Amino acid sequence: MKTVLVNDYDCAVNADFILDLRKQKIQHCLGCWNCWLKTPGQCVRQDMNAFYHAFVNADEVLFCLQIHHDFISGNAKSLFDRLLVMALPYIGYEENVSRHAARYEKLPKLKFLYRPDFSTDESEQAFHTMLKTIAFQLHTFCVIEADREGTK
Amino acid sequence: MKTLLINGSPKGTQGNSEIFIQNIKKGMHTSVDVRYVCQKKPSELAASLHDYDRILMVMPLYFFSMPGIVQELLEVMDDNFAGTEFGFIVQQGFDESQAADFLKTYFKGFTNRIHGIYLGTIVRGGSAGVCFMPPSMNRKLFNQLSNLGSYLETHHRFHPDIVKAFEAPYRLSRRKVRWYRFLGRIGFMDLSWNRMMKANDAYARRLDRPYL
Repeated sequence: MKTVLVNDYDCAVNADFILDLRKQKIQHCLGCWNCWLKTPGQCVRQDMNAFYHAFVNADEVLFCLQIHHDFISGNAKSLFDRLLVMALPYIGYEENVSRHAARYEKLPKLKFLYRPDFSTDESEQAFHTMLKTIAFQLHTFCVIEADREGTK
Repeated sequence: MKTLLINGSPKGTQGNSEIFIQNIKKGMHTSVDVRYVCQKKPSELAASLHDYDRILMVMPLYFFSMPGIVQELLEVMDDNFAGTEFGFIVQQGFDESQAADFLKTYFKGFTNRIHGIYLGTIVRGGSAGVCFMPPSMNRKLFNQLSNLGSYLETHHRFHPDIVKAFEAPYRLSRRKVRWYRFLGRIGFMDLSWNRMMKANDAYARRLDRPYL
């Protein structure tokens, strides 16, 4: 099984490909839509090419996310934004919800592990819903787990 | 009362957020400044925010929350904003405003944490094409944005009727989905995307999977 680890804290898990967000600054999405309209499927920025290759060819991608004041870091958020290359611009409707069509036939299962710092249960629940929506939009599914003891 | 409009779009002056901002600004008569997250270091922008009594952040929805560069600003802001009004305006491509639910919860909690006064979070769906449409087709939207600005200035809150109008539909009705699916089957939904790809000589490569 091919695995990718996106590490935003000291998560001690082995993987075939590791993106360490503590060491690598992700260039933010430009919102240019070039990945839809000019160079389909390819981002104009080049810093994530190796990650994209690993991502689309993986069976599972584990995101270890450090929560700070109810949300992930700006760096981790830029990584999510840059996943736009995985979608086509065309919009379909599934379960009465808008969703971009899939560019790839199959994307890896996502696992979100996070160290929580939520002010309320409502904030944590909203965060879960957002992660599930991201997986739905990428035409895959996800597992979400809190690392409350900081043991992983 | 000094108001700051923050443009949270990575596209800066070239995107829909800027169009929203310029039209909100038209309705305001007191001092209004505009700053761009894509033009300043987050720490520098954060340091300047204490000069204002009211801060409106206008941004596109990226993957169901704020763009990464907006989060980079939020994470360096201190929590000494007692008395400062904060409002958030999110514009998105999908019709249903439900897509931005996370931000409503998040921005409310964020404003509480920094001790600001929360004006609310407004979500305007179906906005991706605003910058491609002639002004005549956007007249209603521009008037709403201008009224939003003027009402905010006098009442210190968002106009409830405009909030309601922007946020409809919250969810897509089954009838609307049936209609959209019909338009999809006859190719109408994809027309503008295909036209733009053809203009860029990219249509033949539209389904490419370069990272396999």
